[in-house]
Amino acid sequence: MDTHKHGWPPCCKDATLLAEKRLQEKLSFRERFGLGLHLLYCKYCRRFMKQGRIIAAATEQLLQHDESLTLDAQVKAEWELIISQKIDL
Amino acid sequence: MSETTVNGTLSPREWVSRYADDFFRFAMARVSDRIIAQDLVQDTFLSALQSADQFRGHSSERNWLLAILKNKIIDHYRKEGKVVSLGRLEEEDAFFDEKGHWRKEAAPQPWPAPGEQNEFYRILRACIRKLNGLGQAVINLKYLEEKKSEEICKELSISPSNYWVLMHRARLHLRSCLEKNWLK
Repeated sequence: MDTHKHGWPPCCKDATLLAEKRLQEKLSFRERFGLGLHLLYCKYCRRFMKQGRIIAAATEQLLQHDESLTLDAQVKAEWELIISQKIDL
Repeated sequence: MSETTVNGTLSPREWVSRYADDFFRFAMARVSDRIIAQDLVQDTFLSALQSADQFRGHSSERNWLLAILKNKIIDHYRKEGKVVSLGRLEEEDAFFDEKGHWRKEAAPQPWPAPGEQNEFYRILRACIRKLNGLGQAVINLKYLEEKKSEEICKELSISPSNYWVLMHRARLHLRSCLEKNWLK
């Protein structure tokens, strides 16, 4: 799927993908080592990793307390009406 | 829960109070559009009424309704052609050059300590809405429903490597969208 070569240590594109994985699960030894090595010399990917953590925590906060995810009482009342009309037909 | 369903009987008059909120949340996590999510839930109740005679009580009323909703969501994805949009993922890369290095204009800049939290959340919300359908779907399933990556792959019929590409893309887009709109 990727068009570029996967080199060693990983390039920024591969390192940021590993960083994303790292946010969600455990990496293999090789992946962890490659990411760690890359982060030693790449300030951009260090920033990506740090900011990625901030975004993940904020996204969770935001979506878990999202008031736009509740239905209007009016919509529910309409549905109840429609359903009872259909039943009574 | 005094009135649970027994053997093949449904209580449609209770559906809205029992399931509407849950089902709406479920649909919102998958389509991210209020109007569409509402329509899907409403359609679910109406189709269920029409095919009520097919309910045999093998599953609970809730699971039977939920299965109908899931089918509606899949139909919606199909209609929108969202299932096939995976192929476009690798076409053009706004973030990395052909060697896999950050493009100059896309390289992450340092962020100041977050000052106004509400502003940050407001922009983040807008940035999530700007993601494409599948990007929003993986973000919602992960952070709203707190599903594991394997469950998300199964539900969206994508491979693990597709999942990571989608998540990676979504994170790159969110990061750059935040940087552009929040730091200014």
